Amino acid sequence: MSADKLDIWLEQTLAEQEPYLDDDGFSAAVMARLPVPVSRRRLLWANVSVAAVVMLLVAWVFPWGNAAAVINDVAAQNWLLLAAAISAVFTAAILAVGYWSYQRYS
Amino acid sequence: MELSDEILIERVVKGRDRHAYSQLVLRYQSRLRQALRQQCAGDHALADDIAQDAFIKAYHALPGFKRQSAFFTWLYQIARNSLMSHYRRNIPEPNSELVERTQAQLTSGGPAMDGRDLNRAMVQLSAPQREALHLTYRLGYSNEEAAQLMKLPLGTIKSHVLRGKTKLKTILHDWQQEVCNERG
Repeated sequence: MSADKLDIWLEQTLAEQEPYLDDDGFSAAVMARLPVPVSRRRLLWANVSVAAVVMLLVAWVFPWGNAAAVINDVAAQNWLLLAAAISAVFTAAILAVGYWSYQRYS
Repeated sequence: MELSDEILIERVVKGRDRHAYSQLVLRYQSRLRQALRQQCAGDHALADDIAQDAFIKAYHALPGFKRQSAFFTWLYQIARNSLMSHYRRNIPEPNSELVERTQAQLTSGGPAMDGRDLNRAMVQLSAPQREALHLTYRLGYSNEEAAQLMKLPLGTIKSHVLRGKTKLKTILHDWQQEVCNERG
């Protein structure tokens, strides 16, 4: 092959479309590694269940017996306020995680 | 009827439609694997592993895909970054079996050139030369697009293409001469 012919051959062969590579299980392997989508209903129920468990736990730990006396106590009212604020923060965190996972995996 | 990339992407993002994503994987697996095989200099298993990882990363990142480029261009960038990270983590050791096989192939070529000769010659180019030639010739990207994908200045890409072609010509010419001498 002369230098000119080699030039032309090279340009043509470089620009040739490559042969199609058979999938040969490649796509199936990719799909098998993707996360399995969680159903929206199941995720919703999981969130509601976790929220309910947390609420029950807070209700169980909360000093209901002393609550009336505590409410009358001005100094203790601050403590009560703090407890309510902490509960609110926890609830907000749970809701945020639930919302995030709902968006991410549903 | 074949759905466009945009529609398939929309379905994946909105409904986490796995079937739609499998269509994208099927559509681009060959192109991506071929492109990576060029860069892995014959290590097909590594190329396929990187391609798989790229598809999985792309699935997770798809909601953030801004569609400023074609899906394949974006996917190729993900794969390229993965490959670069792989090479940074693991200094590539020469695969002796692969080297022997390649050398055997180099010496067994006939005087009539074909696509396989070109692929064998490509292995001898530097990685950026191989990638620049592959992007511009095989995948049809312009020099500007190739420069963006490779994160290199335009002049450097042009230089890689030019030097790569010159080196290919030299290699192919030398092989022809060797074969002719052996037969003569």
